[in-house]
Amino acid sequence: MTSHPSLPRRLATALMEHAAWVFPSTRDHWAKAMQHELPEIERDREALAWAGGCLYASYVERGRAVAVFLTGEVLMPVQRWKQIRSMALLASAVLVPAFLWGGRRVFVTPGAQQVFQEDASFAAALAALLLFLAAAVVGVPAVLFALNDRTFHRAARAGSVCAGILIPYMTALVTVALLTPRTIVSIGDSYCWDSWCMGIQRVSAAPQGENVLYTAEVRIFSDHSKASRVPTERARSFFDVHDDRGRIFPLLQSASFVGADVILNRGESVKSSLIFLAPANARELYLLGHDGGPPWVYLAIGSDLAPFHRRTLLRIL
Amino acid sequence: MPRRPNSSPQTRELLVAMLRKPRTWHYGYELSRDTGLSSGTLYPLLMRLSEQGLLESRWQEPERAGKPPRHVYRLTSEGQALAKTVHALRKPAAVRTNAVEATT
Repeated sequence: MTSHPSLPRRLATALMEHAAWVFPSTRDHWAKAMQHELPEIERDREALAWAGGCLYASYVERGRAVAVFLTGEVLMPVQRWKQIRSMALLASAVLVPAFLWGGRRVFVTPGAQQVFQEDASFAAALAALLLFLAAAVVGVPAVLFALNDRTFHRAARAGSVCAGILIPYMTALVTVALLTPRTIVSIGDSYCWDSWCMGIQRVSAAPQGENVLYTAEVRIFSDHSKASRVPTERARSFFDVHDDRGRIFPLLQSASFVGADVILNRGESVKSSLIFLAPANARELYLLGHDGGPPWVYLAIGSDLAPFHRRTLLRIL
Repeated sequence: MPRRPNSSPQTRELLVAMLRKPRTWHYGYELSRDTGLSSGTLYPLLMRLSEQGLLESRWQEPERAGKPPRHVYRLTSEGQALAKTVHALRKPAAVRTNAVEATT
């Protein structure tokens, strides 16, 4: 008949096994050396304390191994990092003035019933989607699996391949965003995000005390060559009204706004209205889209939602 | 100023404990009990001293069946020399003074 080990003894055994797993592979025999002392310790509490100490030692050794790896793989090529830093400084020196210059330039549409497209093309959105999928499905799991296997060299290689693709892409994304002037869509013109478009046709104002109740009549339509779904429901929550001082005025619920998404053929449109209240002293008012969609929308070169990209404004006043 | 290697009290304690029976192979658990060092302190020291060539180690077959082999350690000649130096430094100042006077 065999007696079951006590709880502290079982815990000590489990801790020792974990400690042996944590130990760097180059020190496997030391992990075994510590583990093989455990059966010689008669008192369970002492065995538990022993295992706790071994666990501590295993993490210390693992930390040292990681530190040695980092010193060798990351910190040693200082010259390369210095070059990268110099290039980053040079790029910043060019991009900051470019950003300031781009901020001064504003593209105002003529207001002659024209339709303007977001700068991001279908190809840019597809590239961003593929990049996002590659990072999510291949890059990150490869690094995580390598880390789990404690093969840090492989993890570093996978990480550097990912960085080698992502860094130039993100640089291009930010550069395009910084250099693109803001678009202001005049009343009468329309603007297309992805495949759906909206234009302000007319704005009426009704004073209400110190405020003014604005009603913007809008036309929503599809830019697709075939019949397609237009997210009119999303359009309502997509916008906020901003004034020239940066104040934000939410849209009021509008009974006349299209309540659900609609399927529209090319050339078809739905008319609706956006209603909001703003102070009478607001001189300029704009509609601004404030949220996007899937993550790759934020990563598409030329997208309105890309980092540092100046958002397109639809002029109301 | 950088710290001298192998100068920590724990290292000195370990070296002195092993110097008591310099040619005997010691078990890790036994060293832990002799020195009062926890396993978490003892084993990193053993690893470091072993890498510096101050300790030698080997696997010893178990005395009883069903037990795993155990790792045992003893000082090398360099380790013994260091341990003796450390032991001499560890003695109280008065004893050292007398020892110096006796040799002169």
